[in-house]
Amino acid sequence: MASIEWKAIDLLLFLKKFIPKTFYGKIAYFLLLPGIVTVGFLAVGLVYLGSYSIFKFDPYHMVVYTLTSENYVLLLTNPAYLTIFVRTLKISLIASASSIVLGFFYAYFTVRTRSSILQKILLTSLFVPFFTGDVIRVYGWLIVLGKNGFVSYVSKMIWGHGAELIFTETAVVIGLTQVLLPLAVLMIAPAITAIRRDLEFAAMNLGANEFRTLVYVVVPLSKPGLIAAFVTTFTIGVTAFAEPDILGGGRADFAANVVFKFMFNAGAYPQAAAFCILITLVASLVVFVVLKRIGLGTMMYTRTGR
Amino acid sequence: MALKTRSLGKIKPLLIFFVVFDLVLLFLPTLIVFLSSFTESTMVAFPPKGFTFKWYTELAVTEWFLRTFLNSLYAATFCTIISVPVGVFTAIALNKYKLRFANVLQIYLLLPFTIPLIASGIGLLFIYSRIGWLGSIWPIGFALMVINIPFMIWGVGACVNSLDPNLEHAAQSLGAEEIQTFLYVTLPSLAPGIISGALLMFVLGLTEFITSMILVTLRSMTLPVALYTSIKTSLSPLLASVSTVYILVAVVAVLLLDRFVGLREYLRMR
Repeated sequence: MASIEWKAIDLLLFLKKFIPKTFYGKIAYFLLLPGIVTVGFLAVGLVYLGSYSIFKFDPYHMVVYTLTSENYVLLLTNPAYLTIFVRTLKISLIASASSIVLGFFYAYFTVRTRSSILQKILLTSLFVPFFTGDVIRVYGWLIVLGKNGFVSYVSKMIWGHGAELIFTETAVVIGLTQVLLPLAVLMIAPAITAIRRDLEFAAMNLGANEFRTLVYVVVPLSKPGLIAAFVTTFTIGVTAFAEPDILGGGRADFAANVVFKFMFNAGAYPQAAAFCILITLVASLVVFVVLKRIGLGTMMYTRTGR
Repeated sequence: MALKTRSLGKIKPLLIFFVVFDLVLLFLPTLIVFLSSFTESTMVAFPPKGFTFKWYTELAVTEWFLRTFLNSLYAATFCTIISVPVGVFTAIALNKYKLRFANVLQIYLLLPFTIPLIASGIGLLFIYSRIGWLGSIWPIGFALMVINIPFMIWGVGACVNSLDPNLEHAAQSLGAEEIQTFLYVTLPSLAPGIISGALLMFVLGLTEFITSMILVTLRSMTLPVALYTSIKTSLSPLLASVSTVYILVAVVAVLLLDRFVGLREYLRMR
């Protein structure tokens, strides 16, 4: 085995001789190539979306290659689509905000607790649902909130009549918040870890109570985590598909559901593309404003500049 | 489980309230799915009636489950294997070298997270149909790699950051040249990051839904997509047993993650 290993290394060293010396100065850029190509698929995909979105749709020929703005005009003037657009943004903002509030306390407690068993339990409870995937969790919520489900059963026991939460926007908010919660915690926790405990003690020594310390010291200092949590949960929320479809039952459709219908029921590629571009624009705008004002937070790939 | 956090003081009840609420929220659907998979009735309802393993024995002979589960495993494995070199090289380049346009690069490499998945999926669909990648399973794996690659770069990046450059210098002053230094010093010290990133890539690939749904055909159907289609049309507890399989996979993955990397690492600053 060892001799094969040495031969392989010798071969690599031999090949290395053929690499021109100028390469070494630029090695970082060569290392970046695979990553750039990988993400390039998404960039090229966006270009495709952009170009399809300005083509004409014709039910018979599907795509007619003449330039038009009618796809955007249709989406921005038809009240049905506007409603869906507004609902997508509204519910994903609510779910994102709820997951951040709920996640902040969870992250703070997990980081600050001195019991390592408790810490492990809290982390496990976070990772198991995160690793279970959203379809299974949405299915779980369907059983919990559904007609003969858990909530309905409990409500019958207490009030004598079932509670119908399923197929409402509330159900979508609950499901989406839960799906986003682990991500929010994982983004916030490192920022809380980075806050020195002394700062909290200092605030308390100066007379702040625990609550004020939390609001005026911990929350502002965990901003990098809160930002990263907002950006990730919001962009995932905006593109939610299973939650509105299964828990909303067609009564709380999101943009993604409409895009899917355009695409695969009507074959209306240009309209689907235009809708995709609109969601991407709005999501990027929100992200851009946040990042421009506050920075990448715990989403940073590197430590420099922090 | 006594809390030794004396200084939490007055906000302790508030914290405990939120944490308990979160735990209920996190576990309720999982728990109910798990319980439902043992019901004797032919429809999922609460409370479950009786106790039986029949849905699991039926699962073992359900063709669509086995086929799509294998497809998912294949796609997730492909995604994971490809993501390792991509993530390692990118993380090293970003963290060890001074790059021009470093900020632009960071934002570019975060595109998988900032472009809504539905747009990523449909963009990939246009590309795939142009270059003839539709219908096979490995392109699904490739797509999963593209949309989740930030997790790999973060995982490895954290290790590159904590890597002591003196180790590499020591190896080189002892006569190792660059390739040997990379293989025998750099790569092993990046192992925890690679393992944690790879596990995340694998599990997220196994459960990914939106992009897969856009890209799969009947032949390359993955399990989450098949499950979703069934949820829409069926109330059979069989689906609860399918979900339980996923929950078990998740539990095993979390145990592995804790064993090899330590869950506590996720609390650290990257």
